[in-house]
Amino acid sequence: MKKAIEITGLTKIYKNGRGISDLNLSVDQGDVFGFLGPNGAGKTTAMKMMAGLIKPDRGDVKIFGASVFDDYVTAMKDVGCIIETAESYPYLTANDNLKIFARFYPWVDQRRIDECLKITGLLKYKNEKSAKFSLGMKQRLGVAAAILSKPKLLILDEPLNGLDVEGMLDMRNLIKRLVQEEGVTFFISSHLIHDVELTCTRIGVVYGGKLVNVEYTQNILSDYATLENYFVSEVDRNGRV
Amino acid sequence: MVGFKAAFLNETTKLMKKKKMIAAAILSILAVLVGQVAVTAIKHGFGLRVVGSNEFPLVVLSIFIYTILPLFATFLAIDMFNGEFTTNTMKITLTRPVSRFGVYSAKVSTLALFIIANLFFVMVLSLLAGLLFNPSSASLLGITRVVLSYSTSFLPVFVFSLLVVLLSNLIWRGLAVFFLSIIVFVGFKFLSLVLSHYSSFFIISMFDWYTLWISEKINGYKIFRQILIMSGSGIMFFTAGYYLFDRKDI
Repeated sequence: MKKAIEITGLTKIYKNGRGISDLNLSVDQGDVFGFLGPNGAGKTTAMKMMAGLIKPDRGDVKIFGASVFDDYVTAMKDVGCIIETAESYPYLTANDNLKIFARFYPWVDQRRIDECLKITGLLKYKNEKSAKFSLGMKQRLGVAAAILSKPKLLILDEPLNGLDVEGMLDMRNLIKRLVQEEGVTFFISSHLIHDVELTCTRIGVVYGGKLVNVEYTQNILSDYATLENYFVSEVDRNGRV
Repeated sequence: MVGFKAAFLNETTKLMKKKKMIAAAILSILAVLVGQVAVTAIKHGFGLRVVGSNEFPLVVLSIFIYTILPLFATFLAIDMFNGEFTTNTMKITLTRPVSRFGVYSAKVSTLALFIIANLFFVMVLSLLAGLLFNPSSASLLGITRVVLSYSTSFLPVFVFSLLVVLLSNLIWRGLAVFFLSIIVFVGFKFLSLVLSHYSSFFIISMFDWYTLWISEKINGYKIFRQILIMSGSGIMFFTAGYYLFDRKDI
């Protein structure tokens, strides 16, 4: 099976000693990969490097075979992402924000913009400026922007941030629908273990800047009662007292 | 340059939606109006003809080019770089299929477009005001001189903006960049007066180089030399700014 993501020896260490070290990982097409770890474990750093926002000390990330650092435009052609926080231009309406994003994809028209606004429940707010949006609405707009170009890979950093229960359920259903109907690959980071358990098919645990284990959710749940138990066990095994 | 067109259209769209554009337009209109009122008041009050219809746009330009234009070009440059870095909106563009060079070039091109549009707007306004209040002194040669002055004024202001862009990528805080730009502006002007032999190297001293183009005897050698100095400085500022922008971790 063709790899959606191939990460080799990815390393970025900040001056304070934190970051991510020697990350090696591959994600198959159609996977819903959960990147699980406590705060400060290096999840966002890894995802920022995957999206080309920060340059690594060494290592490479290939998306559908194209290197993010050598051939960025090709690598990002079929990628949608939310990194750290879902941002939008506050002085523009939801519709205008999506129009701005749509310019990078010639095939995205107003109908697709409306479709994405409808999927994320923002259609009735399309003419409101995003400055007036709540955190949850901004997150929904970020999701709409990420799925706008019908990407083959979605990199989502804490996609459930700011969402209420209804929003979380919608998000979970959206992920499942996109995987089943369009074969989209997901790379999701989260510290919400329960949601990762319900959504992801494969899980990587990152702790202290290192990837400590990668396993299929099905296998984990056959050995452990919950994903939380597995996570605690992995973290303990790797040095946490 | 993949994605440049989309990035450029996006930057111009964002520019049009910002209140700074309206402020720049209002201040430009005010500058022309106040100038014309002053000229008319002197003419009617003291019976003195200060400027004719063709000289009025040049008087406006001589003030405009040292005040409103570089000020708003600085605001815009800071907004496009520091503003987007601090509000985290830079990553919206940088996570799309567009190279960093494409994004950087689109931003710089938008800055150039803003300077051209602002100069054109003030030129048309001041020409209209001059023609309206002093129609008798209008001439085709005079209008040509005005158009030439405004057109050539683009280059030094643009080169100064590229210096601000470089500072925006060097320093994180927009406020620090703003004050540093003012210090550079005043400092360059001061140095060009003190070290007059080297004044050509201080970009600010070339803000009035349009006078070289409209003087009775055109000094081709001096114009050529100044074009080379400004182009060289512009290329260096652009390249250094891009180097920093490309290496920046978002």
